[in-house]
Amino acid sequence: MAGRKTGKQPGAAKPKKPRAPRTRKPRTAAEEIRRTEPERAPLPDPTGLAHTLSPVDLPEPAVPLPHGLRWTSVAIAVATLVLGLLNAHTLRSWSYQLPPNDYSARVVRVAEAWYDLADEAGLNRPVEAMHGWWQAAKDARFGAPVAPPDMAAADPPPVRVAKR
Amino acid sequence: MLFPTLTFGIFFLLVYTSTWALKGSNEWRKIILLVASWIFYGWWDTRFVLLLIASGMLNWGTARLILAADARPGLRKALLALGIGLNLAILGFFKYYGFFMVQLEHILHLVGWERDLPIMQVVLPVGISFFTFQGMSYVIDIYRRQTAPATLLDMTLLMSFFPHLVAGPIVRASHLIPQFERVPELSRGMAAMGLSLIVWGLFKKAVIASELATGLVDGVFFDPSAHGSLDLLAAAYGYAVQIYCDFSAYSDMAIGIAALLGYRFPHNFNQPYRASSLQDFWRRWHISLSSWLRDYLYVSLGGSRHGLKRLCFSLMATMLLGGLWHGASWNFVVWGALHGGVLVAERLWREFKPKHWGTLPAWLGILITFHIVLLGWIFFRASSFDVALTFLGGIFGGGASLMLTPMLLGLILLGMLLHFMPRYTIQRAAMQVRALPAGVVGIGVGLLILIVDAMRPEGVAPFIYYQF
Repeated sequence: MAGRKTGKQPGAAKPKKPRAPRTRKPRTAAEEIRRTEPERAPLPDPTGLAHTLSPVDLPEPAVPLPHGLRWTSVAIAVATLVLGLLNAHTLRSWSYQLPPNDYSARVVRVAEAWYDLADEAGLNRPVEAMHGWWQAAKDARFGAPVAPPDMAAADPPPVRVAKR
Repeated sequence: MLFPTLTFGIFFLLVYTSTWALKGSNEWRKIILLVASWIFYGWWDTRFVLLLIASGMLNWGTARLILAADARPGLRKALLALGIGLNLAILGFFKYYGFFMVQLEHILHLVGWERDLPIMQVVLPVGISFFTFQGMSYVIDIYRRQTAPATLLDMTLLMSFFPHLVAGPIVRASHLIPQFERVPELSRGMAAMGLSLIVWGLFKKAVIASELATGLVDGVFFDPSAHGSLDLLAAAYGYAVQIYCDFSAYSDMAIGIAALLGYRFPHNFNQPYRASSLQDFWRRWHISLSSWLRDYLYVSLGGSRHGLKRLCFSLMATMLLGGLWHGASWNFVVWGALHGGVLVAERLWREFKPKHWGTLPAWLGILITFHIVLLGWIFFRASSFDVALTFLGGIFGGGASLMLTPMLLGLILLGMLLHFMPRYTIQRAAMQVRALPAGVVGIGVGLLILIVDAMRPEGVAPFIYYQF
């Protein structure tokens, strides 16, 4: 058995040192822009959400969800209905902010009538209660006892314009 | 017309219904969107609509001329310079005329000229910086051959499209024009995400930002000398949360509204206060502006292509001009100089840091970066340089807090905690929402808006970025 040789062997291929990747300066503006594109997310991304161009791009669902427009329109219509039923306050406040004229006076009358109707049916109570709790939380001070919720702290009714 | 108002709600319902009813004709759909956008903008001042139309035609015309001069590089360059010059002239007149005249008058007084100059009061059109930048990017992209030419209708709609018109995101032609070229499809995922972003934005704006503004920040910044250091500190942190919640809320609502109309806008915020360096901060804050400044200003000034000195100059100049973009005020110059200076320092640190020195722990980087940003916000918010200095001096002056309440403290903490929520929380929620029946989603959205409405203060303050 031949003895193990040490040192350099003539003719043997020199083992190549792995080179560190060199970063060349970009030569043109376009190249620099391309290079500075947003870098990849450092975290694992099983849903693919990190590589979207827009936040509204969601991964495709496992089961197709058809009729996007119909689904959205129904959702918007129901949300509008819920707000119309339970938020007569906002409608009334908004009507008083319209520029005063015959048209807005009519809008105010309708909004007032709807507010009164909703009030009789108890539909204004949830918002008034939430507003009262929120006001009580806002009024709390460090070192002072928390005031009980004041139902009367809800929005004072706007000044009524003269009804025609 | 402000997003979180009933007037806008009614306007949006009309636009939504009419555009989707016209989905058989893309051209008519776009015309309706264009007219609606002009009505939206004209709500502030009808004269501004003429400026918007003129700006759209100017940029479209310049781009056409650049395309026609394809074989003549010198002429193309001259046309580009003309287009950019005209855009900057419009922006400069409306935004900086008053500031520069006052400075000129001051200089003339110093050299002994004691007469007052005739200074006109120029009304600043809402969102002029946003639509001017949008138009300029189209002209530059056409010059660089990075985007396809658009029709006049598409170009005007790109600049006028109401969801992003007054406060961004700055949407590039290459992103939106291809979407305008066909009737969009509305998927349940897009709609669920759009509705989620609208409700989430409404909460951030109407509850967190508005409460902090009215209950703490506005009062303290109005007269910092009348407040103790705890109030000043609370107001500084409060403003950091307020401006994030205000501006990101606008972006969220804009992205959500556009999504319900079938269009995709790019990301604009990504939990900016968890950035571990200022460079990282600018990848997370107002992403559409920072990438605009990078691609059209920093790179044009030389970027990283001509050595370290030029890179530092480009960084500093970009941030100074970015500061001035917000308005003609020395405070914005200081704000830009602070950001530019720290970005340069970070770059030099990376370049010359001894190799055996370790890197900062992430939490320390986040803490330091946040407080540099916080210092910048004090100059950004204060009405003058003197007020900012009084504010900073007062922080070390002692004194108890008279304005901070448990609610306001809770809102500041909540605003900070939002930055440490798991990433894509809203997207994951929307992925659940899209599988629900439409009626259930409608009831949920209605109830959530109702809760926000019960919590918000009376009236709606305009978004902070409307003034830019």
